[in-house]
Amino acid sequence: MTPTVPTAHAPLDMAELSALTSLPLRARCLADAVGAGRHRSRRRGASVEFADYRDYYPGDDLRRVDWRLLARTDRAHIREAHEETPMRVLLLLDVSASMNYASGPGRLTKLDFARCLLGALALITRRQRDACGIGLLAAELDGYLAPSTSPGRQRSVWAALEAPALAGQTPLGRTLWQAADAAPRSCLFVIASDFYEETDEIAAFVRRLRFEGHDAMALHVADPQEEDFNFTDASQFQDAETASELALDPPVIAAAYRAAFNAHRTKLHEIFLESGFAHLSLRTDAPPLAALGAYLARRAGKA
Amino acid sequence: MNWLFPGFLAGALAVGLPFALHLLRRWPRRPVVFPSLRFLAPSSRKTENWWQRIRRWLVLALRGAIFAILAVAFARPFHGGDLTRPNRAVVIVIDNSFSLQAGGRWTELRSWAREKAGTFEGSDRFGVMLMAPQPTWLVAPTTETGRAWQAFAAAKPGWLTARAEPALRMAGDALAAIAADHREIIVLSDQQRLNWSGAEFSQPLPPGVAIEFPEIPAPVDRQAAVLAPTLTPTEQGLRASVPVHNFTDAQKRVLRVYRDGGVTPIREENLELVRQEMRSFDINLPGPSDRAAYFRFSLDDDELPADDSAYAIWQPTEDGALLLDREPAGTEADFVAIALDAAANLKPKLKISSPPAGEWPVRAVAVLRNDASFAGATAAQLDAFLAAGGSALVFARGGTAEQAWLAAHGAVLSPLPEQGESWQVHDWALDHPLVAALSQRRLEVLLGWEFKGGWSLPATTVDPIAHWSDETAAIGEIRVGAGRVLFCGFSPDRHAGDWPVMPSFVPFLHQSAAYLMRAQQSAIVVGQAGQTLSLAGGSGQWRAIEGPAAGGPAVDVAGSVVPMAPGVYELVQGRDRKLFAIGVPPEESDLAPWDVGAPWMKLVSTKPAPESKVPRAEVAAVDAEQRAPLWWWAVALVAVLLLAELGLANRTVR
Repeated sequence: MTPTVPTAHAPLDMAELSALTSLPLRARCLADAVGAGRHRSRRRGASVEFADYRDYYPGDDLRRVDWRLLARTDRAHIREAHEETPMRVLLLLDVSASMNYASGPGRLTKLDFARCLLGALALITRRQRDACGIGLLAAELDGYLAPSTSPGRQRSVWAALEAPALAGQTPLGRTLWQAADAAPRSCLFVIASDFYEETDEIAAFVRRLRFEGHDAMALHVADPQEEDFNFTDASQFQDAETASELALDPPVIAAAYRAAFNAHRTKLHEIFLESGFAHLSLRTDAPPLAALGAYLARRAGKA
Repeated sequence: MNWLFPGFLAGALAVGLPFALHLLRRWPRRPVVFPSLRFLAPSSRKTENWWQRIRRWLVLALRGAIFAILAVAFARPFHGGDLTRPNRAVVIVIDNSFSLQAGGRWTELRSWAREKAGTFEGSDRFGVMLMAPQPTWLVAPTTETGRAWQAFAAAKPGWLTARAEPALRMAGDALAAIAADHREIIVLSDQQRLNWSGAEFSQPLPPGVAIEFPEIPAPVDRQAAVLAPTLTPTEQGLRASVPVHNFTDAQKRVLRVYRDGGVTPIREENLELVRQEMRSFDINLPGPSDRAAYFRFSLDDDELPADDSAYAIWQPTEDGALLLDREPAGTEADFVAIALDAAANLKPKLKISSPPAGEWPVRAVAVLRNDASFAGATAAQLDAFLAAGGSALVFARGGTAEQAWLAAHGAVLSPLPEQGESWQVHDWALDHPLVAALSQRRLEVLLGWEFKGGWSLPATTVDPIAHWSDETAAIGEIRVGAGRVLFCGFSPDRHAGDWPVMPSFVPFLHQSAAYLMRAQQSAIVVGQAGQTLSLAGGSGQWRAIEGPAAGGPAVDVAGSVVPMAPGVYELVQGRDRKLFAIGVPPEESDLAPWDVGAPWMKLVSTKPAPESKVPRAEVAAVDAEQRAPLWWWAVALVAVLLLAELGLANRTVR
């Protein structure tokens, strides 16, 4: 069956999305689903779109005086307009082995889900003429591309998302720190990861971002089975990153596992929120429209 | 606890299967890849809580129990006691003839039989059979010995006669078919000579069947029986001829006669009975002989009271009595009297007389055509006559008294309307006995009945025999009291027509009188207890009104009945009532025991019992297992345990 591309604003079906084999198609589907377009900046300046009037102060550019209003009111006013400012968005994709997990056939792996999501964000940033960069969180920060509005950079971002090299065990804290080192000022860090890292490491990274004036949005991707853990048969569980094994009877430890998993996610949520950043929990079986919406909201607020 | 198939108990070793699987269980070799064991590792150190541990072991125990109980079910357990113990099959054959009522015979013999039977265990079988009226199982040989003992305790000697041989052969055949180490018949009998009448001693019972006979009881000192009495009418009343059979030495006895169920004897006679002799005693009985009555003739008690009473029924016969009333005034000739006189010597003969001044004899037919016969004291006499069962042939004249009397009995006459033509009687009920008798020789007798006038009989109360031209009833029958009235809607004189001079006149009068006389006669049947009585006339109500069975409820019978006790019985079929005098079998009164050796011992076969193809213990085991199939309960328990296991096991993996 030939997959069809959903139309804009159409309800997004994850089964259809996973059936699409092309990352651009998936990304476009997502972007169209939220109906993202160009944004307006909160900053005001000289532009074509009217924003407000203010009194003239000596030193203001006389070209911005509204002469017609001066003729009517005998007072000089400066016409202000919305200023279009580019935003630097740095997409960080966790390419650790744990991200290459899907609990069932027909489901996207966490990595594919994240690629799709970041691809949609890249598409949105291009439409909004924002600067977009990317970094892959592997054993080291890999394939870092600084945010840029140039079309070439957009293509490079797409190329990086198309075929990311899968890493093994990833020290997420260290690679994030490296990304912070490399990023220019005032970036929006969009981190798509399963965040299997010590919360202290993450917290240190988040504090640094806040200190350096960056913004951040954590896209915490999880497979449904990671959340629910409803295995029934006693099995030998193998760590996707370290290949270590553990004999477990899932029904016995399910409750404890779920408690620990949720505690970790809650802690991360608190860490990001404390710094004024966003932390979104995403399941690979649900459309990430909320994440895109949150991005747009965040973009609008920062502009 | 015994096992039918103990080999299956080896299957109980499968109990170890779930335990072995539990202990030898290995984790699957193919690992389940999971993104991170970061949160699983700490959880894996968490062990089961106490309830999970108990539940897990409970499931394990349930699985083991299921295997064990399944093995038990397949092994077919049963409570059978010691199957190697020789088992017994015993039948007590009870002589329930009335000779067992003599003295203390029944009590002694029953104790003897109970003692001989002893106690039963496990696969022992016990049965009880009655000899009379024919060999009948009270309880066929069964391991439910309690039930058989109950039947034995409830058995009593009756009023029948019995033969031992058929019952012994039937019991012997039944025992021979039972797998038992000891088969035994216990004969509860007084060894009366009569018991072995016609027995074929040369043919023994099946091999392996032993017979226990009681000792011959001591002879009785006083025993006499009253046999069936006969009654004949005399001028003063009735004379009874009562045969009395004395089976012992000369003795003096008192014979008392009771009438119609009374408790006070109407006669009491002292009898001198000669030794071993049967004599008939004539006794004059007071009271009218023209009314039905039943009598009980009872001797004072001897050692066998069952045959000390006999019963007789008196049914007066006045065949041919015909009461002809006076001819009505103004008739030119008494055609009826002339015709009846002419037919008086035909069969049945008619004894014609005028109605008496007092009570009319019941066994008579009244021919009435005078209006005075329905008025005043005569009407009362007529009513009493009919109520007692008398019959009447009535010709309608339309008189006032006649119409009033008929109206009082629900029959209102309607005069036929005048018409140019004469009224014809036709449409005869050919199946009516009277019409059948009339038309037996010539059908022309039923033709040419023409009248100038007459009366229609009411269709609602009259059973029509012939009809007028307008289809109303011309001749019909009505019931008054216990009697019947044949009613003709025309008068037998020339005023009404030429019928009195027709050829059908005399035959009609004669056959009508004959028909009414026959209808009055009721059968007097004498029978014996245990014998089948044929009952004519369809179904009816049967009950004892005198004798040991008196007071019992009436039963519906049809075709035949077998009275089981002596006495006077009544059969009511609609308006008809018949009495039956039932006596006891007279031969059973002779208590003389068998006095020439003990030939019945020849009935015990000298051949060894045939070997059973299947070991007796095996048969007993199968029998015991089938009596109480415990395996079914075991399977049911397995089902319950399975349900419990499913519930618990499901919870462990949820």
